[in-house]
Amino acid sequence: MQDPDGPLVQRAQKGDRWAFEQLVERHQHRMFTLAARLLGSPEDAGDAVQEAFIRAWLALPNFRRGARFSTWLYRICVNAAHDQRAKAQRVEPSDEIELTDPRDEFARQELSGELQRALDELEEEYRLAVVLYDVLGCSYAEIAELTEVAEGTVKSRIFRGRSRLAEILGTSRGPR
Amino acid sequence: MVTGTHPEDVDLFDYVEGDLAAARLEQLEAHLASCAQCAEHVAMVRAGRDVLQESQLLELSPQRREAILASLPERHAPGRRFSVSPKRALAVLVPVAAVGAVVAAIVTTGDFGMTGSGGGGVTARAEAAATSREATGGGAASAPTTKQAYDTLLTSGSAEAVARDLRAKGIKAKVVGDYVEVRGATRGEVEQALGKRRTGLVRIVFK
Repeated sequence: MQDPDGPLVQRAQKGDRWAFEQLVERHQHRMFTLAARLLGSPEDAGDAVQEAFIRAWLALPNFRRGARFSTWLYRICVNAAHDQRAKAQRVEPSDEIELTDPRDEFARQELSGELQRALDELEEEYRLAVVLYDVLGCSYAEIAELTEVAEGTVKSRIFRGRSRLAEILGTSRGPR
Repeated sequence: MVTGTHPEDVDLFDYVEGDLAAARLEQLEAHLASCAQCAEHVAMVRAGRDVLQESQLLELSPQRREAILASLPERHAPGRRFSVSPKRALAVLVPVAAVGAVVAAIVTTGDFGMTGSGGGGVTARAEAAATSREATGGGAASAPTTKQAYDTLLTSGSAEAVARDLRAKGIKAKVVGDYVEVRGATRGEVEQALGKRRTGLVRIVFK
């Protein structure tokens, strides 16, 4: 299947910043959602996304033609999120960035809700699988490529992740 | 495929997703009708799916997007391998041309363009376009005049807190709009003074 990002990626590989800016526009919110759901913090997610786009820009000349750009980009984002988590654990919290944009406020509310608390309790491989599939709408093939496991394993992880999530939510919600 | 008396996860998943072939679907529905354990498991999986799929996409703020675009380093020619890690490149290769364009806008307007939701976008887009034009304009891309080519750093916290911390370490720093202007100190000295602060949205401009 033809990569819808292909023409822009080819231009960006040659150093066209405008083309890369269009790719940022296209993927920024999905990247942010992915990082935010993995990290649970809008500040850390913003840092991870910023780092991921910089890494992608620098590594773009080596991007393999024929690969799907979004899958490659999301993998960079997942790695940046892992690094950000490790960094956030090492670094003393400094003054919080003043996030005043309504989008940040919405993200903060979402990330302090029940769903995020349940996601935080999931094993990493299940959390990543359900976020990629159910929240971002990635295909099994994309998730398999991104996580370097077989498609059957991807399905199994989504299945167990959803089940575990419902179990946690059922427990945390208590009697209704 | 069935393990013991229960279907495997993958089969149940395909059932939930409506991806089973007719013959297998019939077998599985017969099993679910007589197996409360699997039926409950399927119900849980559907409940988890519904909660996840009802969640909304979270949006990156325009300020962060502009910070990303403004912090993209200069890149070497396509295919050339980098001898430094992206992290190091981030610290070292902040684009002189892009920074020059942004700082020129700051110097001209006195507005850093990060406070409102609209101004920053225009500034960064103009800067990116200018850089792109410069890169594709033929010949060696020349740096802007020395007067405008100030180095910058991005860090976390508020501009006031960053300036206060730097002053506490003996560095001349003041808040101008929503960036921090530093005079008479090197990038290394400022990085050392910032210590454990993370990369963030506050820009430090060296003069």
